[in-house]
Amino acid sequence: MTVPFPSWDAVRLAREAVAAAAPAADEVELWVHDTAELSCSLLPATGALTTVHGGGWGYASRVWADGRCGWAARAVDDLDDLCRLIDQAHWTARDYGVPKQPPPVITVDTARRQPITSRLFADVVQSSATGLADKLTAIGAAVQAVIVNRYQTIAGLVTRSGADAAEYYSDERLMARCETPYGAVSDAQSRMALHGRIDDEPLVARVADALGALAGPGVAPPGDLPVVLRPAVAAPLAGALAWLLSGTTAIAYGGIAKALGRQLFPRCLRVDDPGTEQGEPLRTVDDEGYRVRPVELVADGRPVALLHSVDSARAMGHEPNGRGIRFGLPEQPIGQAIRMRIAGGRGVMPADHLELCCRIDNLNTMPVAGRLELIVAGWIVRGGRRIRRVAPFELNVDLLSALRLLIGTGDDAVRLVTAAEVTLPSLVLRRLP
Amino acid sequence: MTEPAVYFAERREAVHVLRRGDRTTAEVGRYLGMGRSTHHGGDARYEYDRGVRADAAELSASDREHLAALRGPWPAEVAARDVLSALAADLADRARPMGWSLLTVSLRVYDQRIVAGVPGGLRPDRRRFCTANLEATVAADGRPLRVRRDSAIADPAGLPALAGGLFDRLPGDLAEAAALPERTLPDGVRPVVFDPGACAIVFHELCGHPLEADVVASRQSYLAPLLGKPVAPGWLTVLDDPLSANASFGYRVDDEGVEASPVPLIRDGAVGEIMHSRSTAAVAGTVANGHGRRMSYLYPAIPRQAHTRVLPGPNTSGEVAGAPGEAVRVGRLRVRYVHLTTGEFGLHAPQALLLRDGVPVARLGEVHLFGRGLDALREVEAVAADPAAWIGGGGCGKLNQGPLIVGFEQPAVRIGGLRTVSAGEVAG
Repeated sequence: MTVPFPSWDAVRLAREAVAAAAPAADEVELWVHDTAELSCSLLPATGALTTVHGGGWGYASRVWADGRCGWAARAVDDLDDLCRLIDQAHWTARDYGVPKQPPPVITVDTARRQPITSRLFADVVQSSATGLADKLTAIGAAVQAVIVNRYQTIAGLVTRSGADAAEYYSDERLMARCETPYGAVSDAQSRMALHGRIDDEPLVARVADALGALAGPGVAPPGDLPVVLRPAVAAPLAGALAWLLSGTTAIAYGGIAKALGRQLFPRCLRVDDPGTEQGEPLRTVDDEGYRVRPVELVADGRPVALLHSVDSARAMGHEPNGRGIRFGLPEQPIGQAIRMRIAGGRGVMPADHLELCCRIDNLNTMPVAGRLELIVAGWIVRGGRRIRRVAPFELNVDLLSALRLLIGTGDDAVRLVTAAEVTLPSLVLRRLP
Repeated sequence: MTEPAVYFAERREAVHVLRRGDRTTAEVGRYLGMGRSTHHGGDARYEYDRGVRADAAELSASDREHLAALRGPWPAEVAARDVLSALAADLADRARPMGWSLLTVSLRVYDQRIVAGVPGGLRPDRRRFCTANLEATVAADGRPLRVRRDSAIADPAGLPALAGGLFDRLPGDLAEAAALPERTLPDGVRPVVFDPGACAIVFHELCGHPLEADVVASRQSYLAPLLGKPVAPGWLTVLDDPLSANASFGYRVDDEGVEASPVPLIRDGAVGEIMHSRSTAAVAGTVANGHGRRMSYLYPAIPRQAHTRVLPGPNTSGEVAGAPGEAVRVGRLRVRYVHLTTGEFGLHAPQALLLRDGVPVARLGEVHLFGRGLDALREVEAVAADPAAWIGGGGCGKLNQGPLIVGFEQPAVRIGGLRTVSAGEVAG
C-alpha cells in the first residue's frame, strides 16, 4: 500500500467543490483535514513492537440556509462526492438545521504554504519507543506500554464568501503506562518546540518522582498542611480550567459568564493563551478562519476573557478571538485554547506542606462537569524536605472550590499533554479541598 | 518467522439522532478505508489508507470480489436518519401527557461491513449496533428527579420495540423513585444487587481485561496466575461471546478474519481462558480465538473483548434482590478505576436504590462501590436463572484505542461484601 503524505490537493479539491456546489444557501463552508501519521507501540514485557503508518483525509461541511445551519462530515471519494457532502449538509439544514445565522464574511487568505519535506521514518519512532522504555525500566518502572506518535497535518478552510486558509503543522508525542501495586501511572510528553526532536527526560523524571512516592508505606494525608500539587498531579485541574474558560462551556453552564471581570479566583492566578510556542505562532487562523490573537484569560484572579468560537462569541456578544477549534471531523468548532499558560512564581510556597507528586490512573478525571476525581500520593514536607510518604488516596474536588484555595504557583512550569497541552506550574492550595 | 499479511477493510456508517425537548439534531458519519498488517515474530507493521483498493497481486479473485462489494453505493443513511427522527418524535408525543418536564431521546444506528483475513481467504462480515437512551425528568420535592434507561440491540428493525419498551418502563420507574425518600449512604460494607444487562460491565472489567493476551503478557494481570483455579462459586460462568444470540455487537469473524468463538473468562467458578489476536496467539504458540479487534481501519488489531455474557445462575430474580437486611441496588455503572495488578476497583452508580429485605426503601442518588477483584468474585452470592431480559452496550477504551463498541448481557447478580458509600461521603 502507498500511504500518501498530507497534501495540498485536499485543499484544492475543497476550493473546486465550493465553487461547483450550487445549493441555494447563504453560506457554504468546507473544512478539510488531511493527516499522515506514524506511530509505534512497544510492550516491553514481550518486546513486541507494532508500527503503524497511514493517512486519511476528510471534509466537514456547514451550510447556512434560511436562518438555519446544517452540517455533514466524512471522507470522500472525489469532487462529485465532495459536492454530495455539501448537498447533504444543505438537506440537514433544511430538515434538521439548528437556527443560526451565517458567520460574518471573512476573507482571509493566509495559507502557510510551508513545504512538506520531512518524511516519517519508522526507525526513528521505534528508537524513541525503545529508548524511553529502557530509561523507564532503568528507574525500576514496570512498563506496560510505550507509544510514540508522529503526525503531519494539513487543515484548511474554504468558504463561498471568500475565506481560504490552510496550514501545515506537525507534532510528536511519547506516552508511557507503568503498572504499580496501587494502579497505573501514565504520563506523556510532546515536543516542546515547533521544530527539533522530542526530549523524553522530563517524562522519565516525572514518572520517577511518582514511583518514588509509592516505593514505601505511607500515612494518611494530614488535613492541616497547605497542599502543593506538582504539575503532573495538577494537570487535570489545568485541563478543566481550560474547559471552564471556553465560551462554549460558558454558554452551556452559565456560571463563568457572570463572573467575567469579578474576583472569582485568588489574585495569584494569572492565565493567558498567547497562541504561540516559544514566540513562534502555532497557527495563523482557527478552524473557522479567524486570526489567532493572544488572549489574556484570567488577570490577577479575575476572568477577563473567554476562548471563543464564532457561535459562542456571537451568543455572548463578544468578538471572536481565533479559538474556534474542531476536535475532529464530525465535531463542531468549540472555543478551545491553543497553548494556554498558567503563570508561575506567584503567591507563596510554604516550607511545610503536603506535596502531591503522583497521580494514579482513573478512567475519567472529570466525570461530571466541574467535578474532578483523582487518585494521588506524595509526601509530607517539613522545612523543604520530604520526610514521610503519603499513601494513595482519593482526591475528589470541585474545580471552582479547589482554585479558590490557591495561594501560590511554583516556578516549575511545564507544558503537559495530560493537561490538554496547558503550560502549568505547581499549584499551592491553602489546604486539601 | 514472517507470517502471511492480514487485511482489514471496512465501510461504516453511523447515524445519531438526539431529541431534547422539542429540538432534534441528526448526525451521520461515513468511513471507508483499509489496512494491511505484516507480522514477524512478535513485531507487527500496519499500514492503512483511505478508500478500498483490491489491486494487490497477493489477493485472490474471491478476495477482490469481497473488497469490491464495500465500494458499492452507500445505504440510504438519510432514510435511517428520518426513521430515527420519527421514532424520537413519536416518543416525545407519548410523553406530552405525562407531565414530565423533559424527555431526552438518543437513538444510534451503527452499521459496519468488513472484509478481513489473509490473502486467498478474506472473509466478509456485517456488524450492526443500535442503542436507545431515554431520560425523563420530573420535579420531586422542588428538585429535578431523573430516570434514565438504556439498552442496545443489533438489528435496527428492533429499535422501535426496544425504545418503546424502555419508554413504557419510565412512568413506573419515575413513580417508584418519586415515592421514595432520598438519603445518603454512610460508608459501609453491604451486598449490591446489579440489575440485568449493562451491569455486566463489572465482569468485563474484573475478568475480561485481565484475560486479554497482551495484558497477560505484560505480567501485570491479577487473574493470569490463577488460570484454571477456582475463584468464584462453581455455578458461575462468564463468557466473552461475540456469537451470543443477544450480542448487541456480535460478529462471525473478528477484525483479522478469524472465526469468532466464545471464550470462557470464568468457567464453573474457575479462571477460564485468554483472549487472543493473531499476533498474540502466534507468540504464545496457540491459536487465535476471534478476539482481534480494532476501533477502525486506522488501528491495528489487538486482543479485545466483544460481548460479556454472564450465564444464568441457580436463583430466581426475587432471591437475588431479596437478601435479608440492607442492600444497594444499581442499574447503571460507570467505571472509575480498575487496577490490573491487584483487581482493586472503584465504580460509580448514578441512580442507586437502598433495599431492605429486597424492598426499595430509599433513593441513594450517586453511590461509589469499592472492592477487589478476587474478593468480589468469591462473594458472588446469587445469579438469576431468568434469561437476560435487558441487554446493554457501551464503549471500551484501551491504551490509545477507544471507545470500541462492546456488549453486555447478564441476569440480575448479587455480590456481597462491597464497600458502598454516597459519592459525597467518600473519606478516602
